[in-house]
Parts: sequence; C-alpha cells; structure tokens
Amino acid sequence: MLRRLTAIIAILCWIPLYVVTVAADTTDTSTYGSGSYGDCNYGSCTLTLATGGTVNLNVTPTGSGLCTVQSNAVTVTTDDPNGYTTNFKTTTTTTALTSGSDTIAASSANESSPATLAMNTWGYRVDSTSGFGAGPTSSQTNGSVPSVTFAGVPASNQSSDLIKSSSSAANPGVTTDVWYGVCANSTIVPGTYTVQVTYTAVTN
Amino acid sequence: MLTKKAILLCTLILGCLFTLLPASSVGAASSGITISPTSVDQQISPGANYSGEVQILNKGDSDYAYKVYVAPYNVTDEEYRPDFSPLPGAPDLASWFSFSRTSGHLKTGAYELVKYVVDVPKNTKPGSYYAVIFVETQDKPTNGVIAQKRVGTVLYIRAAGKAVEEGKIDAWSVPWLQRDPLTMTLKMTNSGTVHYRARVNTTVSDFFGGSTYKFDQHPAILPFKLRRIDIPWQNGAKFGLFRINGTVQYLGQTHTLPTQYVLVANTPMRIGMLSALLAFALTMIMFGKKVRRAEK
Repeated sequence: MLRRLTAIIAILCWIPLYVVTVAADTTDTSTYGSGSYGDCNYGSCTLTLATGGTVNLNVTPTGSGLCTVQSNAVTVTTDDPNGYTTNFKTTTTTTALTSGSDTIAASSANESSPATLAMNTWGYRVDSTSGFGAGPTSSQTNGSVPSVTFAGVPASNQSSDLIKSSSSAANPGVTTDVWYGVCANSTIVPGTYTVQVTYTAVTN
Repeated sequence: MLTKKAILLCTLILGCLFTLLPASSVGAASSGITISPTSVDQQISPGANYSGEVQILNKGDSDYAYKVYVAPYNVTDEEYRPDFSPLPGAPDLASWFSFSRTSGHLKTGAYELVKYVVDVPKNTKPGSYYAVIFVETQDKPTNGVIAQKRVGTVLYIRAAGKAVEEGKIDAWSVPWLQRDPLTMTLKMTNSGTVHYRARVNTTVSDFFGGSTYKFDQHPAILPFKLRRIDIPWQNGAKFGLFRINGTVQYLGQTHTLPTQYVLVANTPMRIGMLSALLAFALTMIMFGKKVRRAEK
C-alpha cells in the first residue's frame, strides 16, 4: 500500500515539470528559439510618447466630502536598446487645480511617502512605482476617500516624479496608468478646475 | 406632498450647482509625438560647430502645435534617472544651440525636420557637456488635468582637448535562481573627465546551447558616475536552466564576462521541483528497502 502511494505521489509530483511551456518572445525580431533585443542602429532609434487625452475628475461634493479617481494611460514606444524613462511635473509653478481665483490644493505628500488623499486636495499615484505600493487602483466617481495613497504632482521648478523606467526597448509600446484623484466637500466653490502637467520621455 | 416635492427639487438643483468639473472633456482622442534620433554623441572642438537634425512625427489622431527648446541634462543615481535642472556653475548650453524653427504645427501623420547647430564657444574647457533637445506639444487648454507631452534627443557633447579617459567594470551579477524575467546586472564606473560609451553584448542560451537570445546595449557612462545597467529578458522563458555569456567593449578594450548559469522558476515551479525531489528520495528509500528484503 505504502509503495503504491509513494509511486502515485512521485508521478504526480513530476507531472508539473513536463507540462511547463517555455515561452519566449523577443521585442524586435520575434522568432521563437532565437532573437535579438533592441536592434535599431545608433542614430536611427525612435521614441514615441502617447497619452489618452484629458482626464475627467467630476465630483459632486457633499458636506462630508466625496472623491473621484480616474486614470490617464501613458504609452512609450522605443526601439532604443538602452530603454527609457518617463516622468512628469506640472507645466507651471502652480500645482493646484484652479478655477479663476478658486483652488483645490495639491496633496502635500510626495512620491517617496505618499498618503491618503485629504479632503479638498488632489493628487496622483502610479501603482508599483516609488512608494505607492501595488494597488491595484480602480476608478470611482463620487465615492469615499480611496484607501490607496496619493502624492502631489511636483511643480515645474522642482525635480520630476518618476512614472516608469525601463532598461530595455519597448516595442511594442508599454503603457503605464497614471491615476489622478480629487476629494472635495461643500466648502469648495463649484466651477471648472484645471491644471496642466507635462509628461517627459527620454531614452536612457 | 408638495413639501416633499419641493425638497426633492431643491436637492436636485443644489446638487447640480455644487457639481465640480475639475476635468470635463472626455479623454477620448489619444495623441502621440515621436522623435528621432533618441541620442547624439559628438565631439566638437571649442570654436567649432556641429549641425544636425531631429525628426518629429505626429502619431496621434489630432493635430497639435509644438515648440522646440534645449534643457540641461544630468543624471541623479546609479540607474541614471534623468534630471533637466540646471547645475550650479555649469555653462548655459541653451545659448550654444540655434534651430531652423522653434515652433510649428503638426497634422496627424505628418512629420517635420528641425535642423539645429551647436556652436561650442572658443573658451570652453575640454570635457563633457550634456543637453537635451525637447519637442513639446502645445495641446489646446480645455479643462481638467491637461497633459502636455515632450520627447527629447539627448546630446552627449565632448569638447575636444586634453582629457582623461578611465573606467572599469565594477560588478557583473546574475543570481543563479531567478523568477521571470531573467535579469543580468552590470555596473560600470567612469573615473575620467569625459564620458565614454560601452557596448554590452550578452547572450542567453538554454543549457544545451539550442536557443540563443542576444542583447546589444550602448550605454553612456558619465564622468564620476557609477552606472547600473540592468538587462532584463522581457517576455522570456518562465522556466528553464540557462547559460549567460557576454562581452563589454569600452575605451578600446574588450572584456569577456564570466559565464553564469541561471535557473528560472516561479514559486509554484519551485514547489513542484522540491516535491519532485522529495518524491524521488522517498521512491529510492522504498526501493532500497525492497532490495534489502529481497536479499534477506
């Protein structure tokens, strides 16, 4: 009986080693079995930065406050074998969401030590980057204060915050979601609030 | 009844009044900007100039205006995180550049060439100088979080003259047990006064030499900076035993990296392998007992 049991265990344990499929795909010359990564010639490499457009953060505040979280897809495509870095900051020294003379302040937390969004502030997060943690972040409109952490977007006269850094080519493109969140209560003056951010991509 | 309706109506009106629109235009259309080349490495004598061009392309589905300008380029850590802030005491490289145009308008699918000239002043000290030519979109302001995009061509300029070229391989690390993606790490230092460019060729082959994957990188190593070069095998094998070979060419020498062997296995696979080994050991023990009984 013991011998049969041992034999069965042995067979069951070896099975996974044979059902494993070894998958490999190169980014440029993609043939299974061999390949080469990042093969643009020096001086001819290209870099593309694309985004999904303006981000909606509509919120209808209540006395105690509500929050909205939405994402912006940032896609980088490059055949440069040294990889790329994407970062961002606000386009001007103003970091607040602004509607005329009314403002919603940026979160005072930074990418190294992000924090839960405070009421009447806005911020951003990138899952699994810097100190943000894995998330996953999900979109919401007029919801409660999100449990994930956010940071303020740095001003144009400060160092940029990292979105993504990769030491290999990105072809096809690699998309990173930048999440924006805002929390507002009824002390915020209704209006159309805006802020401009500048995404930057360079190769490493 | 009337009071209830009035309260409901007031609530709706107040709700509408207090609706904030910090970002209202739907993020429908995607917009993209492409630049080529991504970097230029050029030696220029003080008092001389260099002419080049960058190509920009609108890969989005809407037209946009753009502007062209120069910013300083520096790196901040061993992963070479880029920084575009001016360094104290460093020359203003923007004054070295002149462009055939500093702004324009790109239609969807269209491309343009922007020519530039770098004039290195006569009194420039020999050494390395870095700048980035940025092309930045000027998307129309609407409302909400408005995203401008900028892409850059990094210029590694070496002002000709007496300079010290010195560097070395600091570390070559390939842990023997890894999860997907298999990653090799090379660290290089530059103790000279000018940057140099290394050529890192690495190959990953299966244990029997059947399949080979090649990686070819040309990182620039800046003076007095340690550079960590991670070489990940993206979309590579999830499981297997692999052999890593490589060479590094820099400053006129070729260095062969020591061969490394790596087992790539994720957690379930490791548990499976351990279980298999245990089962094998158990089988052998039982077989041994059976043999001993048969001998008796």
